[in-house]
Amino acid sequence: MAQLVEVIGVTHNPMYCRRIIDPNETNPGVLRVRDGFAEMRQTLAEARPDVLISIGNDHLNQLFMDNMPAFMVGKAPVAAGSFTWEYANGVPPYQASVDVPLAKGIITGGYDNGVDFSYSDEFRFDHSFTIPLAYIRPEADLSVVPIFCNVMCPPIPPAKRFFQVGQALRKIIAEYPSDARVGVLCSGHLSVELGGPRGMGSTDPEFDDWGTEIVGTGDVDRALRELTYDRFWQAGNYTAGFLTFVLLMGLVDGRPASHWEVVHSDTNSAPFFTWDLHQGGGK
Amino acid sequence: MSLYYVNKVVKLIVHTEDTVARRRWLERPEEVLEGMDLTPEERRALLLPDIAALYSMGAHPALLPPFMAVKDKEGPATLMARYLNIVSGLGHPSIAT
Repeated sequence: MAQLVEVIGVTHNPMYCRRIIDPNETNPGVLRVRDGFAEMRQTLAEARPDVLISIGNDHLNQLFMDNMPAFMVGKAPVAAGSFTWEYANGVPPYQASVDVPLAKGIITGGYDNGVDFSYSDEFRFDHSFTIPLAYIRPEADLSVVPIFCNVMCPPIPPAKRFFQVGQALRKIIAEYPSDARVGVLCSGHLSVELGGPRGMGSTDPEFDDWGTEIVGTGDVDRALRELTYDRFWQAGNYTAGFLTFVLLMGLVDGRPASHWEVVHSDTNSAPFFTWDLHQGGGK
Repeated sequence: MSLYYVNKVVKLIVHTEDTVARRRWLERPEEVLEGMDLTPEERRALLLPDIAALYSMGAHPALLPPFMAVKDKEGPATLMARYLNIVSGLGHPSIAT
């Protein structure tokens, strides 16, 4: 059976893209994000994954309200991105083959585990996928299976559903007939606004500390009770991007993270989460 | 109120490789709006564009700065500052379609 060896959660804020490669950058938070990505790269390498499940969300770059999936598996043979208009912001490109049998296994396994995943045979990655992949697995030598989550277009699934999907994914991987070592790279957001009146930068640093701690300590009860759409909306109009990390809580069965931190800087705060399951799990 | 079609028009113009659609919007916008289920106020707000009105009716805010940029050729920093000035004080209307 396949083995879940490493789970990583990071920011996909494109405001960091140019700055973490700028030799003149001096902001301590930005420099910590740069180093954090380098550490995530090392952590993933040490777990020796054979395949990566990549979890993120499209930003209305391709998916739209004419047919919006709550959770969608990409099963085209190749995954590539990003988009022309995102490259202008320094977003890195990425291309990888897709592990189509595993993608199909997740879809069919979902039917047995209470999740009807949508799927796509024609999709592109946007920055929520290319940023973690390019910074944490720049070799682009592993097949991936992307899972797109709706966190932008209400009604979006509640925290409970993200957690359930994570739990289902955990079972699907455990029952998947393969000896593959599976790594998970997930991206999301802390407090943030997209096109909202509060502008750029963290819109609720208290939420950033509080939410990161809930996920990092594995406080499932609070996550499901208190990470509501209204709380996200209060923190910033796109803060529901945090929900992908709740999916990770289900994926790791509520374990505390092996490492978690929130980095504050002069732009949006950035979280780092790792669950080193190949070393016996979280703390 | 037909908020979905407001977003659909905006999405046709931004976040797309379809330069023909964008040129059509700039040259013959009424054609783009044909067949769209829009109220007179929504049509007016899209054509102007009246960013404050679009924001207030719940057009998806992630799409509005790039929509504003289609007709305004100022740099991104200037445009974003002007955008924020427009939506400042408008709160957070529901964006549910």
